[in-house]
Amino acid sequence: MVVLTENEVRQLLTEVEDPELPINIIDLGIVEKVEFSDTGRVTVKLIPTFVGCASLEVIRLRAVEQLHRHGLAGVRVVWNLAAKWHPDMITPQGRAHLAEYGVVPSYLGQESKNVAGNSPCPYCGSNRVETQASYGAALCRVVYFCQSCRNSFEGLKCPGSHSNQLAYLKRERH
Amino acid sequence: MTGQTSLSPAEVNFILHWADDKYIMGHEIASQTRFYGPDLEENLALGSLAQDDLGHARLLYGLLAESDLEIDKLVYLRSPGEYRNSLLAATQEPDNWAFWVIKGLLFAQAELVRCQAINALFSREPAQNSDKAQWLYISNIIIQDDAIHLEHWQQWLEVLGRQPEGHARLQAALERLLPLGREFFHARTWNDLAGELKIPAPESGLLLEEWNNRLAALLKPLFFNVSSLYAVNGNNWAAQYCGREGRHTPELVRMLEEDHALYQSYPEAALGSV
Repeated sequence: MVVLTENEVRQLLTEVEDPELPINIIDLGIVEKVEFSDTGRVTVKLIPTFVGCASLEVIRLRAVEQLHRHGLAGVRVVWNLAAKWHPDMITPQGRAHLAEYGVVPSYLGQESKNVAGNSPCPYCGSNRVETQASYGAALCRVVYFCQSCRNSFEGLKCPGSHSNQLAYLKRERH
Repeated sequence: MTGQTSLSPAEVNFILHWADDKYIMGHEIASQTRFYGPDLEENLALGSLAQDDLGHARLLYGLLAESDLEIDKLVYLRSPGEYRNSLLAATQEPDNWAFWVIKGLLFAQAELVRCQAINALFSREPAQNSDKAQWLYISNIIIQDDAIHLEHWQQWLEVLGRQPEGHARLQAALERLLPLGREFFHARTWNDLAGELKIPAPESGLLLEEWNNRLAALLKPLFFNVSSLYAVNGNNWAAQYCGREGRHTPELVRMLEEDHALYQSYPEAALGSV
C-alpha cells in the first residue's frame, strides 16, 4: 500500500482541474482537509463554491481517479456541504490564471483582504466596472462590463454577499 | 450533511414541504431552458436558478436521508401523491414568459419569508441543538441565493412591465398566482411544527401578511393591481392545502412519472460509481 503525506496528496490534487474554469482544485481553495484514519485510509474533504454547482460529482470523480492512479486505492473524496467557500481562498497563482482567462474573483462591494472595492477589469485594470447580469456562463459567475476598455468579463460570485450585491446593483443603475 | 432519524412526523412533514417545493421549482425552471428562454443570456440564467433550487433540495432531503442513495430513493421512489410541494411551485404555463417571471418572483419572495421565519423560530429556542443548526445553515444559504433570484425576476418585471402587452400579461399571471402563496404560510404546517418542538408558533397570518406587503411594495410602484393578494377566496385550491396533502395537477403527475422513469428502470445506475 502506498503511504503519502498530506502535502503529497495535496500535490497530486494540483493536477485535478475544475471542469468549468482553468484552475486546479487546490488553487481554487476547495480542498478543505486531507485526513488519515488509524489504518492509513485517506479521506479528502472538498468545499463547494455553491451547493447547486452542477460539477460537484465530476470534480469528486476526477479527484478519486487521480488518487487511484497514484496508488491510493481506498481513498474517499467527499463534499462537506456545510463548509463555506470564499474567493479569498483562491491562491495568488490561481488568481493569476483566472485573470489571464478573463475571470476575476468578485467581491461585489464586500470587504476582502486581497482586493479593495469592486473587481478591477482583468484586461485594463480599471475600476469603472458595471454589472451586466447576475448570472453568467455558470451558476458561480456574474457578468461585468468595463466602461474603460469596453470589454465584458466574468466574476466568480462570492456566496453570501447578496445584501452587498443588491446595494451594489442599485448603485450601478443610477 | 447526513440525516437525523429521530425527527418527529411534524418535522419530517415540514422539511418535505420545503424540499419538494425546491425540487419541483428547480425542475419546472429547468424545463423552460428547452424553450430557449427569451434570449441566450436568460437561458443560461435559468439553468443557474434551477441549479440553485435543486442544490437546496438536495441539502434539505439530506436532513431526511442518511446517504446520497437514500436521497435518490426519497426523490425517485415516491409516488406523485406522496409529494408535498405547493401548487405555486408546480403550476406552469408554457410559452408565456410573463407567467414565469411572476412565478419566479412570488416563489423567491415566499422562500425568503419562510426562511426568515425559520431563523426567527429557532433563534427563540432555548437549546440550539445540532439538527436545528443544520436547518439554520440551510435556510441561510437559501436566503443568500434566493435574494439574487428575487432581484433577477424583479429586473424582468421592470422590463416587461414597461410595455402595455407585457404589463397586461404580468397582471393576468398575478391574478392567477397571487392566491397560491397561502399554501406556504398555512397555519397547520407552522402550528404542527412549533407544537411538536414545544416552541411558540409564528402567527401564520402574519407570515402571509409579510409576503403580501413585500410583494405589494414591489408591484404597486409599477402600477400593478394587487387586490387579489388580499382577496379571501374560499374556493381557492391552494388555500385548501391541496399540494401539502398530495393532491396535484395532472401536469405535475406526468412530469414526475417522466422524471422517475429512468431511475426506476435502472435503479442501480449512478453518476458516481466510486
